[in-house]
Amino acid sequence: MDILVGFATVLSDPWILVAIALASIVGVVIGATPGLTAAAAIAMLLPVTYHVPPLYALAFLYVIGKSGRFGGSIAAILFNTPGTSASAATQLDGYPLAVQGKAGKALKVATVSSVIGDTIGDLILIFGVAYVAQLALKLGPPEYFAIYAMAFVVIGSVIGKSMLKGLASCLLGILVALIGLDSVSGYARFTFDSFQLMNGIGLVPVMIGIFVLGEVFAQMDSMKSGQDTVLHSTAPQSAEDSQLSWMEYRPCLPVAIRSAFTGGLIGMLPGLGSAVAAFVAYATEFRRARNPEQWGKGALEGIAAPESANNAVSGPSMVPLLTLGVPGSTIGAILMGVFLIHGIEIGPTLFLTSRELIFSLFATGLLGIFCYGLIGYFGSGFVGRLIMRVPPNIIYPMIFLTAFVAAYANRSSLFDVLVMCVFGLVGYVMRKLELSTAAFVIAFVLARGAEESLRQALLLSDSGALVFFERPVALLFFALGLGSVGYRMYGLYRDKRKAAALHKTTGNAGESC
Amino acid sequence: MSRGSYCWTGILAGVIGLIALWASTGIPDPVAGEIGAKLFPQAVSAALILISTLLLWNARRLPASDAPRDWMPQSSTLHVLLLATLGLTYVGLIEALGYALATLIASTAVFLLFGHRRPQRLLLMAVLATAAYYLCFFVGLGVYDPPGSVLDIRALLSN
Repeated sequence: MDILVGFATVLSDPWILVAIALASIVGVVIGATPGLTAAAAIAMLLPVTYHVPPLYALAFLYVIGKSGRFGGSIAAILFNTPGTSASAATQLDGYPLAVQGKAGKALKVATVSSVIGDTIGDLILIFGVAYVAQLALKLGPPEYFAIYAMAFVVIGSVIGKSMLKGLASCLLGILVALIGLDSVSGYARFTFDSFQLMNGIGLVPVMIGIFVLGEVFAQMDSMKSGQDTVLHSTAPQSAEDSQLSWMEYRPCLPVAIRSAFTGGLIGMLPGLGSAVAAFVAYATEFRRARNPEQWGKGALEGIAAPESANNAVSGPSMVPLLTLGVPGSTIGAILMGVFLIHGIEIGPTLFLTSRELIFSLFATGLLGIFCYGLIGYFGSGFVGRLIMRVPPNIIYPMIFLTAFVAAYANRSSLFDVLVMCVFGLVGYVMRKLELSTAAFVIAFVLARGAEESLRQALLLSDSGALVFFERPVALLFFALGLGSVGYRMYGLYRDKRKAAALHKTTGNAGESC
Repeated sequence: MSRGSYCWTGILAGVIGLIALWASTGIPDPVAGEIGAKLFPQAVSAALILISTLLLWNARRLPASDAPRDWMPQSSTLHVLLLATLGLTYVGLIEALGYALATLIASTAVFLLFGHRRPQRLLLMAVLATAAYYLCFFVGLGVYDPPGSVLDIRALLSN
């Protein structure tokens, strides 16, 4: 019933409705712009939300995250360039359909499937989160440290192409977070006698630097090296080809529903995120398909599966954030910052202290889905044409300038702007070296909490580090972390063997020729 | 994944790990019965050094690849460095000239760097961008406008 109270709160305030509508438009446009991500948009717009009440700020940024995920499908279908990594799987069948002149149909399937997936994901969140929060209330510092350790290991080992680079990214993020005065002893750490570093490195300048300025640097690099994407739009050709009938969508419906549950499950695990969900759902549904020969050539089910799954991640990825204070994704990490900036303590007690706010946020999420659904169904083609018209050499300078004013507006501090600049370069170098910026930022956000729980656990125990072995729940989380590393290593080993076998086969074929 | 990319990442992570380990030795020891402030930083630094060793070990095992060396500095890197320098200069300009004038100069330079060449259009875009940001953030949201330490336009205008 809490969700009904949430809806009443949201629907009785026209300004929240305006924020939701605006966030839906901003999210769809940014998600559909190749190179821009919802995370970058949220980081840039974060300082704007300081001046509004917490629900307005959270609703605005949460809905941008949701609609940004969907927006990526527009670029994937129309431009053959995924707007976000999560929509790369949509491209496989979306673009072939667009080439056949059925871009409108493909966009409508993507919209309906995204709405189905996102709604199911949000329902999982709404009806499941309170139970997880009740369980989380029973956890102590050893269990919390085990959860943090698991999150570091899972995020580090799963995000990105290389496990070692993912773990290195995580550790770098933790080290940066430790800069400043220790909150318990008051000793300075890694400050190198700089007075300004005593307060530590702020989350907002780091995020804007890594996600926004780093991306501008990367775009400048690709523009000047001649690798910039030239967008060729495949606009809908005829009204008939743009229509989507119930008969056409009917086979997609079970695919979308199944994929939503796949995405929901993946979303609850920290670090995996939308891209993994989309590809897992695509592969699963491809194996079940009655028409596998059409997949990859323009099957509508091939759009329904990844779109439903990648949007279904959105709601469940909030479960670890809201109940344990552990963000499962980049957007989660940024939203955690929003909660902290507005003085809201997240974790299991959140449902005791800010229950109405949280369920109102869930209500805004559902209304956001409705809003971007309308935009997507009726306006995707227009959004595509709009993005085509604005050249990147206008977009990226504007983003560059926005990054500076956004970093300054955070605390009216020029030192923050300087930090943002430095982390812009860090983000660029990380992209070049294929280190994970997402793992870096998530680890940065989690580091202080992890250290605090480790120290509390050791202080409370008489048996030192053995306390972790005396607590079964803590052991379970450590085992989950190790299990994820083992699974990833097994996957890499299997891929290597497959590649070696393929190499051997092609080598033999070459010799026989 | 190329050998060079692993190698450079390993070296970078190793250097940062060693600096962090050295810096964490300077953190005072804990008072008896407390958990010190150096335990966590030292553990993380050591883990980073371990990971960097593994990265370098992996790099040694990888075959030299023919893949494009995207991680290496190229001619486009110069433009990125120019843009980064502009960013750092922009911070100094805000301190010296205040937000509006600094943004006017920086926006002209950034549009220029992104390939705009026609002077009238360049100036128009710079003025529009500066006005838009100023009105939105400093007038609309009430963000504190830093006075320039060398030239304070607002003070000049109010006199």
